[in-house]
Amino acid sequence: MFDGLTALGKSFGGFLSFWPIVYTLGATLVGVLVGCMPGLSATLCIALLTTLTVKMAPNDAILILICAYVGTIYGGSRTAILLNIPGTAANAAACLDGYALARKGQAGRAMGIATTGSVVGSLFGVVCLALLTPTLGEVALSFGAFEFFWLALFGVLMSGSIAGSDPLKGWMMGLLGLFATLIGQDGIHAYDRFTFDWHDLSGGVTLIPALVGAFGFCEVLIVLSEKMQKAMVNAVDSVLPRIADVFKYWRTILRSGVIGVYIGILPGVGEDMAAWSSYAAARRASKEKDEFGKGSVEGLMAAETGDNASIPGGIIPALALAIPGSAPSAVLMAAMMIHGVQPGPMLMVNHPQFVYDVVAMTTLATLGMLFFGLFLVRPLLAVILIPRSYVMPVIFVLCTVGSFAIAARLFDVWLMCAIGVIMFVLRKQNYPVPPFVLGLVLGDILDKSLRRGLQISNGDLTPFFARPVCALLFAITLFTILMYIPAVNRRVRAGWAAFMELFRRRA
Amino acid sequence: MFEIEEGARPSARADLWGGLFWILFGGAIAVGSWNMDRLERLGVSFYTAPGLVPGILGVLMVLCGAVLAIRALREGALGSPQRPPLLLQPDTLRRGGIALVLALGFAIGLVGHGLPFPVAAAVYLFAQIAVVQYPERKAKGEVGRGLAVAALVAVGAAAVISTLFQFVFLVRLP
Repeated sequence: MFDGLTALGKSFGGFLSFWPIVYTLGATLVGVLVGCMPGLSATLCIALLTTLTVKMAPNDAILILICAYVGTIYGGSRTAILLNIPGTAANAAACLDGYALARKGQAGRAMGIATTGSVVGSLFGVVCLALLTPTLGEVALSFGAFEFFWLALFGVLMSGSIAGSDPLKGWMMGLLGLFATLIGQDGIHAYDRFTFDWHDLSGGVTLIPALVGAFGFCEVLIVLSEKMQKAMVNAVDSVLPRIADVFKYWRTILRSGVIGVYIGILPGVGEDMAAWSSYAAARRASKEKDEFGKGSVEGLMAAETGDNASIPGGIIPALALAIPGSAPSAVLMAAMMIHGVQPGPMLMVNHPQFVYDVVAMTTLATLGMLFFGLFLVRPLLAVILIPRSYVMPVIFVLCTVGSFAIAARLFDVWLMCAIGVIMFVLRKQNYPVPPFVLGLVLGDILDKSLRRGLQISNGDLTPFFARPVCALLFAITLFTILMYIPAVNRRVRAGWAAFMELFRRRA
Repeated sequence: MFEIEEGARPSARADLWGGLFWILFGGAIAVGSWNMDRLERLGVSFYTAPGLVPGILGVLMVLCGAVLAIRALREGALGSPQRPPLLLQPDTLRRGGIALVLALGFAIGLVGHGLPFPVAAAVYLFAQIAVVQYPERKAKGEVGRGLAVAALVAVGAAAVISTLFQFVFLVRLP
């Protein structure tokens, strides 16, 4: 306990100097600006900044990425409130009540509520990050190849189930991501798979250029293929958060924080589901249900608390298990690896201080977010009005330089272009991109874990189903798949309703 | 069978073609994996053969593709009329096609072929911005002004990006 507090104090002390504070403010500002621009996601922002910070010291680079991550999710609420367009997918729930408040002439108040919810949610998540990561890391030390196989599969499957409106297409994208990561030399025997004697492909599908293509170039093509529309911003009143709102809705904030962290920890689920779940739970429990969707302060607070709490939540499994909770945390995890930090169960053994460094970084990012939320709202609104016909071509130039920057190979630029075009075509057919990213990140773990597990058990599949954690993950995985078959879904729901009715009668 | 919510979704026929593509793609992966060297001469166990996991993924893609195709057939993929796939709607195709050609022309044609990166970036940015804004500028009778603004933004952005990467973050330019 005291060792943890000492390590935390040391981490905070290390960041309280000039340059870390400059990086915090600069990166959070970049994040907020990117979040303000619809279409530019947190995943893209972190991927591009990874390429930009590749030559920096590891702690400085990770600090910048975490600040940009937190800033982007927060910045996305701006356009949700003012334009009814979520800046990032995580802010879609904030549109419902945020925009309704803006139409009532309370855009400033809505932004104040978003700031309050984001800051409180993020701080709650940070506390959970500090408390749960070492514990989960310790538990994960007992995990073997069998458990890691299921964790990887579960992450891809959950992401496929939730991202987009069609789980089947989500799972197919997950499979495509898993396959893409298997191209190149395999991790056990260094045998070239699906490279067709093309030497550049032996190194595999490099993660950062692939992500830049999937989220950057693809988005550029999507936006430029649509008709450009001019943004109209509602008038803004006072943006100062009201402390009274925090006290009035403390139950909602606490509930949303818990839901956000919990959903963040679930592999592959992400901030958008955290926001929607927090919103739905707040609505169910609220005394003002009718206000939801019509400008409910409680609804907006719940959505913004939930999505920001899920950021540290998503970092917890990324650090402790090397299984990211969301697409942006997957990129963050990849960036940590580029900088020589290997996340996973051994992190608390090899780099125990790093976990506390991440806690300090996330806290600083939250404070940066509060700073910009309080003092720089009106100048930031100007960003929303920049025509996207200027922004998107510039983003593509950044994508090109960024893809090249990691390894100084033109092949990575071509890879970025190829992935971007494929994702563009698939997105137009309603295939979601986040499961592809999770597949890319988790493919190597899944491949090695399955083959090592089979080698250890000499082909016996029993340990994959009989070990306690494996059995639990298998049951959830199977249940998730079965629930998407309407006949099964109907029967389960009917059975659940009958059970609840019986329970009510007995009570 | 799997059902999805109504909304902005592709037509059933597009999904049928998609399902068939996945079946072929997954099948090709499965066959490629099956024919992959199993390294038995090196004493490698069948369970760690390099083609094992890609093979399983290929089979799963075939299954998912089949489900998608069957679902599309049940939704009337062979009936008529069908709306064109979202990608092939004329406006999307025209705008997306131009953006794609310009972007690939820059990233594959200009970058890394001797032209200094800032110049290549400025050329691309100017062309892309001018093309995207042309209909609106033409309607307002501001084509000349539009081109001037596009040139200014292109040169400025190319200079800032190049300087930032090369001299501030010490990253090599392509």
